[in-house]
Formats: sequence, C-alpha cells, structure tokens
Amino acid sequence: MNGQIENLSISGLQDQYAGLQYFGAMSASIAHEIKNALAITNENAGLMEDLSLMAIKSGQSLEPERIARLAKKVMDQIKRADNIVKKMSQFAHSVDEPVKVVNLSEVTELALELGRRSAASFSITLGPVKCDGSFSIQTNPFILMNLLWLLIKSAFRRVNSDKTIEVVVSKEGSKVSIAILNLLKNQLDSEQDKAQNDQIAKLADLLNADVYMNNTDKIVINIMQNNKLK
Amino acid sequence: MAEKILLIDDETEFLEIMAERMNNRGMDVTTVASPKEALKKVQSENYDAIIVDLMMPEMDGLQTLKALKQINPDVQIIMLTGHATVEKGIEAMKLGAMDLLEKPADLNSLSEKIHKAKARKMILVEKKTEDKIKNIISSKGW
Repeated sequence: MNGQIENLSISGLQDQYAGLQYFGAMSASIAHEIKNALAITNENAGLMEDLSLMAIKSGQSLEPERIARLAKKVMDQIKRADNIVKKMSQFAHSVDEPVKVVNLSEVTELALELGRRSAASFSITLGPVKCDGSFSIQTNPFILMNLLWLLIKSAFRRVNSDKTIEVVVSKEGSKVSIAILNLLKNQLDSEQDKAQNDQIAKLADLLNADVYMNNTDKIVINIMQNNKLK
Repeated sequence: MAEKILLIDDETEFLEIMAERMNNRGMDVTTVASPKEALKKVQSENYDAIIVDLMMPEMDGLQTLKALKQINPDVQIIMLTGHATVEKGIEAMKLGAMDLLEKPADLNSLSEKIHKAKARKMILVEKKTEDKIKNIISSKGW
C-alpha cells in the first residue's frame, strides 16, 4: 500500500492529468453547448404550451404561422445539438487507436471548433482553418489536438487588436505544418508559461513534432507526414 | 405590481423566448446579451431580480455577479447555468447570489424564485428606510 502511494509521484500524476484535463475541459464546454440548445428547445416548447393555454382560456384560436415558426425554432435547435453531439463523438473516438491516419485540416478544425466557446470567454475569435489541399497524416489525433489547444491557449495573451487567431494548415515536401498566426511577438515567459511550455514540449516529443514559438509573431508545429511515433 | 427583471444571457434566442414567456406571466422583463451592457443598465435602473447566465463570453457569470453587487449590494441575483459544478454554485452563493438554477430551467420554479427575490429586496429597502429615519431622528435630537 505504501509502495503504491509512493508511486503516485506528483510529476507522474501531472502527466496523466494533462490529457484528461484537456478531455475534461472540452467535454464541459460541449455539455454547456448542449444544455444551451436544450434550454432554447425547452423554452420554445414552453411557449407553445403557454399559447395553447392562453387560447383555451380566451376562446381564441391559435395562429398557425406562429406555431410553425416555433416548431422551426425547435427543429433548428435539434440540428444544432445534433452537430454538437457529432463533434463530441468524433472527439471521443480520437482516443480509439494510438496511431491513426487522419485528415490534418479536419483534426485541426475539430480542435478549433471544440475550443471556440472557451476562446470566446476571453473575447477571442478562432477563425476557420485555412488549408491549400487535403493532407493526411499518421499521428495520434488526441495528442495532436491537445498540443494544438495548449499552443492556442498560450497565444491568447499574444493576440492582435482584432482579437482573431488564424490557423493555416500547409504542406512542404514530406512535412506538414499547422501555423497559428496574427499574434504579437511573445514576451518573456512567466512561471505559468514555463509549466505550460514543459507540457507542450512533452506532447511535441510524443508526436515527433517540432514546435517554434519564441521570438516570432506566429506559432508553428511541423510534423513529418509519415510519422513514426515513439 | 409587476416584477421588474433583468435577464442576461449571450444566447439571444433564449433571451427572446424567455422574455416573452415571462411577460405573459405579467413580469416586466429587460434583456441584454452582454454583461457590460447589464452593468450600465443596473447603474441607472432598479430591478427586483437579475437573472445571469453563469458562462458568457466577455465576462463570466461570477465576474458579472461581483460587478453587479459592487454597483448595488442589495440586488437579488439568480444564476442560470448550463453545467453547474458544486464549487461554482458555492462560489456564486458566497459572492451573494440568491439562488442557482440549472438550464433547462422550469419557468414555474424560476417564477417562485423571482417572487422570493422581490420579497427579499422589499425587506432590504424597508430596513434601509427604517435605518435612515432612525438616523435622522437621532441626529436631529427631537
């Protein structure tokens, strides 16, 4: 028992938790989005009920156009929730296999889509992924999304005045890149940055990726397309 | 008299429908999609209850709660949340929220809480008026 407790070193726990923290943060954000869609659906249904009760009470008939508009709003929210659940499912399946061939712009867009609400809480907009062509890559999609999210979060303090972060996916030879653009040149690292940079370095190492983020107005991840993971 | 409500949520469709349903129940509802706009409203208007979404872009619900309480400590705030954690709920209550409801909320429960908020606010206003009168009487030495 004592041995087991000793084995739970703080750094070991931190490593285990880093991925789970990302998974947890994104799941919480997804849950919030679904709850919002449910809340609007609930209020639309409630309003239909209110209007029916008011019509019964007053003896007047219901306006069919009004009911049709409310029904349309309910259907729109169901579509919205369905899209969120599809993204949640894609995200959940990103941990199915340790190595997978994936479309890089699709994985990048999924990471951005999941993080958009969180970025919005800092009044930051994550633009759509720009990509010239379709590139597949052999990687661990979950770790790649986790790395990308840590880098985007580190970019929050370096955004330009328009508060929009652009992400571009490109290919040069056998190498693919994800570039986070429209940033200010980075300042000296704080203690918090250093802890986050350690985590970034560990994930980049796991993915055999090179990350360039210092003394520049952009952040770039370079990965070999036919990557052999460690 | 109709309860005067300020509803703050970044989901504009939610605001629209909620306001219509609350208006149908005889409440006087003002809606704002931005916490900053809400702070401006509270500086010039008096509300019986303020309903705040816990998670919003620009300023989260807890920050909004703190700022609203700074402007008017007597304001009665009901938090609405999409994903309430126990910690967030406790933090909100510690910061002075009157209550916390999870989305999708039942409008009947919310209405009950609004009635309670109005009653609480009236007690606070009456108490303040009483204290003011006592102060005036004691300072004048009648």
